[in-house]
Amino acid sequence: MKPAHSTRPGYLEQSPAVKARFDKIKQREVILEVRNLGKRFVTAQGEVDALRDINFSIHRRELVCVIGPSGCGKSTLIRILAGLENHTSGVALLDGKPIDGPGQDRGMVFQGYSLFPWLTVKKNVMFGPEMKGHGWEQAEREANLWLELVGLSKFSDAYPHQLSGGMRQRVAIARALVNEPRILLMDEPFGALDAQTRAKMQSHLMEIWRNIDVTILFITHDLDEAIYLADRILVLKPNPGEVHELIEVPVPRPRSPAQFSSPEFLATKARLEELIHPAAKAEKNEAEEEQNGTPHLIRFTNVNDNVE
Amino acid sequence: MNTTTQLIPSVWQRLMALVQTDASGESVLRKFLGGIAPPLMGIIIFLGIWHVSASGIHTSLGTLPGPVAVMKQADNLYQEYRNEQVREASFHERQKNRKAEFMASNPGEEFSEIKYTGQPTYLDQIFTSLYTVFVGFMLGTVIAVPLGILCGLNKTIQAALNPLIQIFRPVSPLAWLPIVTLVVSAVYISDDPMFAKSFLISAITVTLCSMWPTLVNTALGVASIDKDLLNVSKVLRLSTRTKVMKIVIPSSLKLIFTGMRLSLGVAWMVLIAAEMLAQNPGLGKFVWDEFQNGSSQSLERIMVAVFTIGFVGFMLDRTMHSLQQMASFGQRTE
Repeated sequence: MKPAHSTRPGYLEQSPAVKARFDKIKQREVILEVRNLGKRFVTAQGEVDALRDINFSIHRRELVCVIGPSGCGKSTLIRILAGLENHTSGVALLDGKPIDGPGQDRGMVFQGYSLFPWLTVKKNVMFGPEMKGHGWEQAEREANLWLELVGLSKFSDAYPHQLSGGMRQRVAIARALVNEPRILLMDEPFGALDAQTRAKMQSHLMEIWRNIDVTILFITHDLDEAIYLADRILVLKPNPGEVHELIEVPVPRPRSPAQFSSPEFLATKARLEELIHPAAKAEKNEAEEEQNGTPHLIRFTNVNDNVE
Repeated sequence: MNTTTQLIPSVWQRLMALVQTDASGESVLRKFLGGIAPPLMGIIIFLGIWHVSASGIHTSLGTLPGPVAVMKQADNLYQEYRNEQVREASFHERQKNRKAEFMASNPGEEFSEIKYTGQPTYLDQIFTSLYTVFVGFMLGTVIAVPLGILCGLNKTIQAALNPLIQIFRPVSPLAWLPIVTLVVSAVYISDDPMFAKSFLISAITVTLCSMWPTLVNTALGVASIDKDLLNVSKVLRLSTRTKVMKIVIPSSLKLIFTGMRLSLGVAWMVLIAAEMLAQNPGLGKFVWDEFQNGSSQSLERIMVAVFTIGFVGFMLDRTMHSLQQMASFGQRTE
């Protein structure tokens, strides 16, 4: 794929406003710092590096997306940060303290919503505060507040199975935010939603992020989603999972769907395509395989009965 | 006069409503008949075959009774129950009078009451059976659910218990009964027993045979909890106890109830056999006594018992089904 605009990598160019914004972000305190993080699995075939030498840091109220082809270890990374898995080398620091094990300072939103089907929407959100030992009344007050924020006050007494996928994910977000985490870890949260709901949820998430002091690490495999949401995009490559590039998205804020065709957006997307689908060699084999994989179809209809 | 003029249109309207078509364009009446006709037909055909073939089978206790004879016998059993009630009421009445007389002539002295010892009626026997199965089933649930949760949470415990479960699960109540009888007789020695031995033996046999489906299904339910739900508990750093109470049990409730429903079905079947041999005064003993009795009515009475057993079992299953439905949070169960 040949970049259409120029020979210069346009995604590195930042307008003064965007540049000023990044300068401002970089002056904020660091919430999450990852240094030389590695994860090695021992399998029957030998040792496999799922992640190797990952380095990056996220500043307060930054929205960072992680993107990469399947098998690049992006889910492993977020699970390590959530404390659900152990890493084998390096360190991950949250507010300067090393992460060892799960905790309420990190909110997690899963692709499968993972709501409790036996609890109403409100009780789902109340679960965290109640377990923390807040009284029932305080927990209810907090739950009502966050449900209002995600626009689901009307459904607080409904059960999860009565809600649509997008609404369920909003409950999941409210449930994660009610614990007031330092960072919100989102593992392909909109992956199971249809395109329209997905677009709505993206705008909704940015709305929440704008109004609340929360830092977000967001995993996705959708390039447009990553560019649309992120301040910076962490691109991983597979086998072993390593940082490919950390891109500062030059698309100015506030974002809107109209920017999908802006030159900055397209330049960034072209760069991501280049990194994730390194055209030529690797893809050739895949393409060949795909072609060979196409079954030879026998015609069951009359030749003259052409459907096209 | 006035009331009839008001009544007639209302009945008429109701009849008309039956012929009206509903949303799907079918008449309500037709839909209703379509729903009820096949089962009704099944029952009628069954009764017909039974009636015709029964008259051709001659047993040592006379001809096999047909549906009509069995119906009559059911009514007969009900009458016996009514008569027994009257008899008991009059007994208590007499005793009250005697007590009053006694108190009048010997003031300050203790009146020794006589306990009423009437024959247990058919209805009493049904309730004895229900009570026994309930106790046995509950005991089984109390053992099986915690064990199942342990199995589901811990692979090692599962592996340790699995062979035992597989071996004990298919054992017939008839094999357990002698062992239970001997053990209960040896262990349960009391001058003033709270439970009759026959009751305990039946209930424990029911427990031993019926707890397995609950155990297996609970273990399955716990083992198949959505991993993300458990991750939520990890993020909140819940203690094991809280995790089990707040996440593990609620999310496996549906399968726990499925297991309990199967268990109750097994329990009810096993109970009849256990009662027969343990002589616990329930339906099983009733059938056995009638069989030993060998009167001309015995076969009819046994057949009434068969239908009672079937009907009660059906009702128990429906009850468990409703519970299961409640525990499945919107997903339908079969």
